[in-house]
Amino acid sequence: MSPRSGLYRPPYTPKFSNWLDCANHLLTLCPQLEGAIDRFVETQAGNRDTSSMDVRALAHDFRSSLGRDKDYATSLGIVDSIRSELKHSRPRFNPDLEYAIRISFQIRNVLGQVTRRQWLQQHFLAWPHARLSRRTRFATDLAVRMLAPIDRQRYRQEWAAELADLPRRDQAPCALRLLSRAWSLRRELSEKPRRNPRTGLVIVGVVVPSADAVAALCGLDWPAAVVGLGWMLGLMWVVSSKDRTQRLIDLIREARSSKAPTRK
Amino acid sequence: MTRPPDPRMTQTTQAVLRALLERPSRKLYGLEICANAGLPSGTIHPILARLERIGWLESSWEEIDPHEQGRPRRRYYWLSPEGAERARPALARVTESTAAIRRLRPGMSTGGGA
Repeated sequence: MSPRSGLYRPPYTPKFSNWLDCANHLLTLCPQLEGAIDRFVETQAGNRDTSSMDVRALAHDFRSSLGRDKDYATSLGIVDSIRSELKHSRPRFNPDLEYAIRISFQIRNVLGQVTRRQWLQQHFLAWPHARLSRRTRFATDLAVRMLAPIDRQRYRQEWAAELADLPRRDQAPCALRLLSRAWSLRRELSEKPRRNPRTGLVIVGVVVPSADAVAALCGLDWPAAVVGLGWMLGLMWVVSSKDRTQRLIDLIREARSSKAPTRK
Repeated sequence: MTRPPDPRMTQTTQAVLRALLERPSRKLYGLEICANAGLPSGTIHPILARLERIGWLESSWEEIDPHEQGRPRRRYYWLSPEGAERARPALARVTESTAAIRRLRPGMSTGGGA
């Protein structure tokens, strides 16, 4: 469609999902801009001022910058200069000039997308979650939330750095493994020095209900079973910490020593 | 001051310690430790936390500018001198006891999970 017909309307600037489409689109717009500027300058043959020549030179620079150097940031600067020159060109309402302004506007939008994306890539790839898929991020966030608040920042960064080095298909399974071990990590991080293993043996000897006891509970009426179960759970709770265990052991020793026959 | 007791020497702990003992001076991050130990990624952090808590491991953040490198900083782990000194005999003891148990009961698997 000829831009002279007055029916041409540039399409809405599309959003690009990949670099190649974007670059190709720019490369098709570039000669259109140059052609429109050339035509405009030609129509102003008797009125060649320096600004028209400048715009022509800028359009040429723009083409070489975009096509040969692939320097999008410089191209953006040149397009801005072209636009400001075109805005001040006279006479207004020239179809070629209008077309050139529209095209330059469209190029400006596309180049804006490109440079914005380049900037984001440069600055935010370092952000811990930048390279993770949404599922991976969700699983990692969940795993991090299972940790104590003081440890969250460290493991958020550490896990993100490890996941970012994995291929994308391995990230989600790894994040699920992290999630499955988050609770044990929390326990390790919050654990105090280990209790004496000998005390542990005593605990096992005292607390763990035997199969006979469970069978006996099962044979009882329900009120008696509830009381028995409560007693057993209470005993397990009492000996569940080191201090309480030590107290219980002391109590047992005291009881044994008091029962021991005294020599006369 | 009393030294903290040795960690539970599960099979995973042994694998992690062996991976770190291959080159005790080298700093490794989680994924490398997993690869060297032959463990799936994401399974070793509780063990690393345990070993760090008892002073066998030390860790620090990688000193890079994440914006320049385009990736987040890694957390590197390495054996402390005390850890290297105590891990070797601990592993040797475990290997000995495992061999003894295997001699007694050849079909029995020894060791536990993480």
